[in-house]
Amino acid sequence: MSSHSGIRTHAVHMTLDWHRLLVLARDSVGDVIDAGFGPPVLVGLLAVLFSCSIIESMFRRSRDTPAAHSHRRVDDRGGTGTACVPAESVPTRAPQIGLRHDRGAQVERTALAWQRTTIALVVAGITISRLTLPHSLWVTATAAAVCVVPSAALVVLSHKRYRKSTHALSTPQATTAEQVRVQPDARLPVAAAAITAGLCALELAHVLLASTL
Amino acid sequence: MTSEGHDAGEVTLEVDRDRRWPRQLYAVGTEPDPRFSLANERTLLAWMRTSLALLALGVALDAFDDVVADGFRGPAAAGALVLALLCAISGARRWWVNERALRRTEPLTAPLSGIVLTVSLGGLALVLLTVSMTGHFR
Repeated sequence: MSSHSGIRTHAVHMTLDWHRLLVLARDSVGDVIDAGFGPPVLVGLLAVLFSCSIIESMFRRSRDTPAAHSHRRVDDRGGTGTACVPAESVPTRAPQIGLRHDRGAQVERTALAWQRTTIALVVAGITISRLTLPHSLWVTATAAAVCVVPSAALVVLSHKRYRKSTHALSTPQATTAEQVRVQPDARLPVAAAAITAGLCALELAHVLLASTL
Repeated sequence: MTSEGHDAGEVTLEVDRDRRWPRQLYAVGTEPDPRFSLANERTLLAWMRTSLALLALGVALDAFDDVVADGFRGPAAAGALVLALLCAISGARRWWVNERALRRTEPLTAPLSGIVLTVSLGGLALVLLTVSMTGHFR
């Protein structure tokens, strides 16, 4: 990494110079942006992210097609399906809770809200890392990491959550308890709130420290 | 045998227990209509987006030194960022309290944080407008 010292001890050799590494990363990122590669790289990253999600959902849809098809037919007939549902499961087809094939697109609207929030997180991360680039390497690096890693995780996890909600609310199940058990819980909302609050706290600390120094 | 029957059979074979986290939220009351839970989730996400927008405002105020005068830049940015932090925290808190109220079939909480946010945003906009105007016409 550095070539200014000829002799060094083993311990020194093993120590990573994080600040130097960050300077290196900043300079290379700056070079990429200056050369006009910034937008294509960003678009490519986003394209990879979303195509992963789309491909995954295509595979899932092809596997789920028979079930989804039969739900729709039953739903169109007003919940008294006779053609494709076994007779013994007909009385349990009207659960006390449940949406019957997501009427009002509640699950889909929630999934879209997750996507908007993820995009807002990416935008906030990019804005912070770009605007703090000349001032603080630590804030830049943390914001960039928050921009990439949790956003990618949110894309994948919110899609899983969407599938889980759809499954829980469109599959006829014997009891309410079983339907409840497969619904998504509070983990992802709490994680998203924590990420947002952490990003706010990071930038607030940056502003306060910069103004007092 | 359709796939529904197969699914139902699988579900009953698994451990029939509510494993949702956290237990102190999901153990109380009865199960609400899932539409209300989903609407509550979307409200939380809207609060998160508001928080992120305020965060972007704070960062921009801090970074662009030609918007407001130097003496006001830090405080204005800090104000926007404090608001952003409050939005994130109160959004999460409201999600929790409302979900609990839904489970207990109690009335939802009063939109106090919305009122606080509106008033503070108005104040911030007024301060920024005044400062930037005086800066330009000085």
